[in-house]
Amino acid sequence: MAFLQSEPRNRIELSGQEMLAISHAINNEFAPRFTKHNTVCAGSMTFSVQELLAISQEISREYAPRTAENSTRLVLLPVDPHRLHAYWHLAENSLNPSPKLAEEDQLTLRIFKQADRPLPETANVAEQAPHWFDIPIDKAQSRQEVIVPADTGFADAKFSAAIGESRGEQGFTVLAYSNSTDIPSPRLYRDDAGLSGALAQFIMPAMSASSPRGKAAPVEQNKDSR
Amino acid sequence: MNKGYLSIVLHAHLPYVHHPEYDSFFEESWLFEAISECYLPLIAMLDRLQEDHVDYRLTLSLSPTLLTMWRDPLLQSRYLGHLQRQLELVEKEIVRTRDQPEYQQLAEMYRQFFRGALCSYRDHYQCDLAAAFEKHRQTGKLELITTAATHGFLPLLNTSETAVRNQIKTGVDTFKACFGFQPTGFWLPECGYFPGLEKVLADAGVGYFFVDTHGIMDAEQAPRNGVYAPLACGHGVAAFGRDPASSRQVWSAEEGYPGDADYREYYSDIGFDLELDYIAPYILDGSTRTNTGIKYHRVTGSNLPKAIYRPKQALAKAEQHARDFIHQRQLQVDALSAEMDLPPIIVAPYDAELFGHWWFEGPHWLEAVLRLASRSDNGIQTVSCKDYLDLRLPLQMATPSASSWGEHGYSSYWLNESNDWIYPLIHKADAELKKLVGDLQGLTVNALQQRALNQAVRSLLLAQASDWPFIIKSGTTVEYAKKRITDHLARFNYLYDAIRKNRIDERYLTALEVMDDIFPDIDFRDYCPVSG
Repeated sequence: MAFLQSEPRNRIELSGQEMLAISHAINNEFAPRFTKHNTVCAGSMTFSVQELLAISQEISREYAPRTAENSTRLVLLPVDPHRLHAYWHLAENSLNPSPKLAEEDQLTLRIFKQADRPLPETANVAEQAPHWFDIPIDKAQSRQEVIVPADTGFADAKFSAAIGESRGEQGFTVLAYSNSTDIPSPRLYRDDAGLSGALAQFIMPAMSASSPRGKAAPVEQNKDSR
Repeated sequence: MNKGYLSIVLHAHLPYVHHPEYDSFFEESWLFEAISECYLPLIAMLDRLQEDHVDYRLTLSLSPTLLTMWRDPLLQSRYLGHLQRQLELVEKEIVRTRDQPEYQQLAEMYRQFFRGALCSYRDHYQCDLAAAFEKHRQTGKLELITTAATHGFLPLLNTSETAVRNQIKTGVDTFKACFGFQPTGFWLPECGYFPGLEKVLADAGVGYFFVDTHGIMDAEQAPRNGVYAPLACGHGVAAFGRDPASSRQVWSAEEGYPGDADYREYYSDIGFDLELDYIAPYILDGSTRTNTGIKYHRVTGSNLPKAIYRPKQALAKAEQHARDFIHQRQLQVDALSAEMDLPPIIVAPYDAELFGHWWFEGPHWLEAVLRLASRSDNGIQTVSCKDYLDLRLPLQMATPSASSWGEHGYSSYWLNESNDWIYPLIHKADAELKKLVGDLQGLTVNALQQRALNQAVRSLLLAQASDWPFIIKSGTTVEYAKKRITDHLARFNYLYDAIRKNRIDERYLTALEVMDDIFPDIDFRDYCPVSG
């Protein structure tokens, strides 16, 4: 029987909930999908989801990042007006191998308020640097937070560092020099900014140490107190 | 007559979360929740303002990772699936709450909300949110700006100018590829600034950026207008500072509007509140409680049992808060304009995701603020920072101070004992990539090598995102954040090794291109120091 000749039939009665359930079922099963049958097409290649995952896991396992490298390296980063962060990697052959000296040597991080001229490449630079201070380092360490002395002319300066072996009176053998870095000015909303009354009125009260910073979402902060 | 200007800036950003290697992936819901609760409501707000011919200006920063995810077919498809599941759950809720009329009304409100989201997203905007915002840019009301490629925290990438330059250039290029024009403004990730950055921004064609208040106030030369006029930093670039007063009214945990007792409580979600057996099909793996987007309570107040949410009351409060916000800005402009030698501009930047996601009524508040600000009798005009610069006013020359808008105002949230292990790894990868690209200068590479090199740059960019150290410090999804960094660096290491040994497996490379499907036009040759 041709389609047009078919007998008209009464439409099936469906409740709103039934229609909704059918709509959901169709949407869930037949909505357009980027992945078809759990596969992803890229150009002429097709990947199953499992294959992508296997490749990802294999690479993560076999090529996990490591800090170890052949060269010796020291990096200095600014944290805030009072702190620097140093990290380093010392190649295995860079430390003094002499057992006699090893006991006396103290691995040391030397922080320089950067000199106007470049640091020389030779050892025993301490005397030539205008300002510096030392932090003794344990040989197992690879990073150090550095508190910048507040009262010795170190504020608002450019810094660099050297890591080396200190032998008391006998000097300092440099193993690596760092980059140079600036720390921010330690002034916090200086009082001498010369702001007029209106400007100060809107800026200074909100400048207390407890002022909110943008990134901390208020709702997030309030979670526990609610 | 206008005495001063108000520039509201929303920064929309989410990290790149894209996992075709799984049938579904929980962290992709960050995007889905933000689409439903933030981006679609903001677009709807702009549509209403346009319909009503409201004269407003608003600035929206769109991160390249967010733009990429918006346009990703897999994520678009998964978002539609997410909405379908929410609609299914809300139908169950309407049945479950049949004997609790107040709860049932809210369930019906959510049904309308999710249906509206589905209709807007799928039918009205054809899943293209970028185009929806672009439409409003073309009306001249919305200014679109960009940010760094993967939202890298630039002060801690600054051991390598190449890394900083690449984040900025790739960010600008992605924006241009999406919208077809050069952005004038640039949102520094986390407002992270260091002196000298303005030169790199200028090289990328950027005309202005934002810093936190103390970035301006602690500038090299005292800012004579505080944060209420930009500083000219040289190289044709201007820095605008965040106004602390308007920020505090919205951001402050203690005094901010979103904490009002009448607003919807973000943390009261049926994913956590109902029986596990009932909610299991709609939460992670059927066993780990997660947000569902259905929330029945209001903030209420500390140490009180949570009271039921009353939408009308909440919306009325949002309008009241909008009036208060505008009134405070009027007082501010009146006082500032009397003493300043330039018309004051109040810059009020916020994370876009605050509006609607964290603060459910936020889009309603913002709409009311823009409507009120558009009235000609209030002495305030909303502008973009570009509009202000176009006035060609004589700006004070000064270099801002290093700063960020993170806790304590500098870099410590992104560099501390919880996350300092990241930096040796990403700096090392940066050095290796620079060396590799340098070694290839002047040499011809074949198509496969070029793809591998470009993918290596993508892997490094993705590892540099500021979101991962932020999450690790905040203690939320720490394991996922750690895995993202180590996975991207492992992918970099794999590609680096394959390129160096000239053993590139095209199938593996293609798999990585599928998984990290971002920055299609990137060119590895840009990853080298700028000569001179």
